[in-house]
Amino acid sequence: MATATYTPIATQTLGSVAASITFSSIPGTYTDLRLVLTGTTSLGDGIEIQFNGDTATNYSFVSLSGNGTTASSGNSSSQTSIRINTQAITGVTYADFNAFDVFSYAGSTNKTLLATAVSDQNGSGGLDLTVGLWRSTAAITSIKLLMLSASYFNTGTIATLWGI
Amino acid sequence: MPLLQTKADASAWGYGFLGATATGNFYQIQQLSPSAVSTVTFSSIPSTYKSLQVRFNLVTTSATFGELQFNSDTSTANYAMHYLSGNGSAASAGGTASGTNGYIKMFQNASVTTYPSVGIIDIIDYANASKNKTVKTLVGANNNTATGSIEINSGVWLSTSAITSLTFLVGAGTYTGTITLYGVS
Repeated sequence: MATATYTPIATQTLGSVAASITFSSIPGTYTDLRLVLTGTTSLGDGIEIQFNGDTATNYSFVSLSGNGTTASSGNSSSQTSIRINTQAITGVTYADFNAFDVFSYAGSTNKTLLATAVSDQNGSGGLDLTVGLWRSTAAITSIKLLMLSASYFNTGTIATLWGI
Repeated sequence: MPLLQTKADASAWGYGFLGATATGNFYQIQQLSPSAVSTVTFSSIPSTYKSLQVRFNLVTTSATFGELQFNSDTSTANYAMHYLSGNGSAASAGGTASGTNGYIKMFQNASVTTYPSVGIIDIIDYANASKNKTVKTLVGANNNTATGSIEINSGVWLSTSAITSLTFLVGAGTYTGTITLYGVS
């Protein structure tokens, strides 16, 4: 008998602006995690993700991006976070859509994620696909989303963590 | 917009733009934990779902690529694919028509031994017996160097047979990890 899954673990809806969003005490009972964030940001900055409060240079990522004109790919190694959504939009009119799939998050391998980020502003914006690595074999028990510099998530931004 | 609707929409996008889904219609059919093997097969797949999704987290012993076959069909006449990929320095696109590979090619990784290759494979209308089968894969690998791979691929299996088995192979070496088959009703 197949087992129903894809279960919402927690949802956060921002009642005021915030520099970060954290999901903690994540149960280890699923195979994968999916974190979906939709909302707007103050400076159109990229979004960063960190695990288990780790701020050391244990992260790396490779991206594939399109901005409406060209396609490109980039990489960064030994970073303090995985960064996605380089096409992010400033303002409150057009929401970004960001999704993170974190595989075997409770297992003993290093942790790899796939991220999809979409921003469109009727003529500008773009999309990113990203593969990110957290070089740790620890089970993921908390996830923090944050923004670079002085940027923040605007009121009304919604983040939902799912267990699969 | 009610929160419930927002969550449902997010879920639908999460499946790669499949039809809207909500908790309760995504089912784990089978989970495998391969260890140092070059192939695994999901067999006797029930036809009771609308779509299938495979999610994997696999460490390979070689820099290699993943391959997908249906119903044990190895004929090069029956598979074609396209890809859009980034390797950390450039974006590229390409594809192969039928007659080239006896499988749908997926991730191309440079990450061996330590860092997993991951992916999500969506197989649409897999039980339909009157049309060819289309596949979308989002796959990636990263090994904390300038080289890595993020790809979105399309593939087609030129067969109107319902998919009842799915085989996952690698081009070289073996793999270890977790691969799970889900049904979307």
